[in-house]
Amino acid sequence: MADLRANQAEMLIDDAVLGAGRSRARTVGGAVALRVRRVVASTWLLAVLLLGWQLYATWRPSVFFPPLDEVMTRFREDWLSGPATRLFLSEQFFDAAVPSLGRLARGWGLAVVVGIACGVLMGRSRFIARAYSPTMRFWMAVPNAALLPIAVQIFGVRDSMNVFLIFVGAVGLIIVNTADGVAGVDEAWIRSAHSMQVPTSKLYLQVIIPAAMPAIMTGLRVSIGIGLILMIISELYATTSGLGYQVTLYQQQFRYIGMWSTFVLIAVIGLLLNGALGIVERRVLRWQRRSGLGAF
Amino acid sequence: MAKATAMSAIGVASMVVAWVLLRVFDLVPEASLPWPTEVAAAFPRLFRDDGFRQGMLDTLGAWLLAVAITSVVGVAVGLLVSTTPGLTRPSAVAVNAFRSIPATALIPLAILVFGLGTSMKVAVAVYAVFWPVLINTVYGVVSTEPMRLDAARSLQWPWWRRQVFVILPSALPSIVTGLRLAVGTSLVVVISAELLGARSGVGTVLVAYQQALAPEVVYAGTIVVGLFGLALYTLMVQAEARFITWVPRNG
Repeated sequence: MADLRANQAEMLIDDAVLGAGRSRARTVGGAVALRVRRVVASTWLLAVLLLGWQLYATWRPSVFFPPLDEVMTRFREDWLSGPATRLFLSEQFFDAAVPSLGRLARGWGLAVVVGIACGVLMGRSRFIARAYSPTMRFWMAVPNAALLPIAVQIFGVRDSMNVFLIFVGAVGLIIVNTADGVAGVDEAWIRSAHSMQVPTSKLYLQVIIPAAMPAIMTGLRVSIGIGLILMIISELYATTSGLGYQVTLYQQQFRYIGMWSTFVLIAVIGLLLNGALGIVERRVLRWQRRSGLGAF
Repeated sequence: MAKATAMSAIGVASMVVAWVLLRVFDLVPEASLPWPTEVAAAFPRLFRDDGFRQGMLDTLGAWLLAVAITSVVGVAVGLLVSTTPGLTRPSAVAVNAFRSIPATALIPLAILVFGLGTSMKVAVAVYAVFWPVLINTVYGVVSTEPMRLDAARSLQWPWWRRQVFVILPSALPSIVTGLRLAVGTSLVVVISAELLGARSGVGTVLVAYQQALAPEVVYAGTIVVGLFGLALYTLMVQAEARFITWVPRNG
């Protein structure tokens, strides 16, 4: 079975290599082949690793570590068995993933608004920056998860607890990155805006924030990852719904394949969020010249 | 210097004032936010508690082990992957797929596989920081100035000499950035694992105090943990400034 797949993969690569030669003729077929070659050249390692997982799990069966095909079958049953009118998403998806995503959206959304506002303040006022940057540094250094007992203490086991934790984890990163970006805006740009008598609101919205945007986007990208981590951990710790709760439920029922199918769903959500943010970033920063790293 | 200290004292003082105002006007229930004085009074109690000291040591031990493992294995794999042509891009794709699972989601699985001991905490923490360290190493190597590599080649430097004297120095700032992230993240993950049920560690102690309805001790403990995190971070930044002197830095 594995040999057959490996053979097929080799044939694909051979085809792709031949195709790359042909693509110089600028035919449609050549372009498709070139694209296939690119995709294969960048994803073969992932495919090999997943195949390795499948082979290892069938060779050494273990309840904790099921083969990939069983996990994927389960994934389809668990999450994608709904009717077409609901985008094939199952009842369970709406019960578990939607509350989680709602908490993430509320916590992170609030963090974006508050974080950018506070970050601009810190970046523009040297007084505020000097007075609060030690506090901020301390805040960033507190391992966010250690705030869970406090969050439960303040809010009890309710949605606001998860939202609070996600907010707290994300807001610091956004403030610090925004402040860095705003403080680093070229003085000459601000001075020329002043000399053109640009009104203050326009100065902020059309000069300072766009100039600080690369740093702000970095903060957003890192903070959504942290937000996802905190969403899951807070749901594992104490809730009655959500993806983290689903994982705990499966664990307590000894249904380990279900746990894995939830992991896959979480990974898919993580990938989609990152991808969406990447698209936003490319759109927002399209005025910026791409460096060698950006293309990577 | 004295001025900077005074400024940060103003900042901290204003936060404490805000805290007191929250209490004075009773905006949050006292059970969830105790008076600052109560929290201050809880510090001696915390330091006398052998469980807390032992937990702190356990946590730091697990954290140190995780950071050590990742910085050796992650950097080695990163160097290997990024200096082998044709392996860089596929590994970036694979890494992005694996790191999109938040490590904290894997804690229940790790508990099943590794039990409740230190190995579980270390395993989860390594999973959490391995990918960022790897990716930063790859970024660092890939962004080596091609001109320098050409210069080394035209001097007919052998392969190992190019690796050690050209690629490693120019990749090191990026590698250290990855490690600095790893220092913070692995502490978060170790403490998360303890909150969800490890046998020992500072997270376990905090949960016990919360369940014993002693919020002032929980606050004090969190502040101590935060100060430790800050100390570790500062140490890392100092080491970076001390040893990596060949890149210009802003601020």
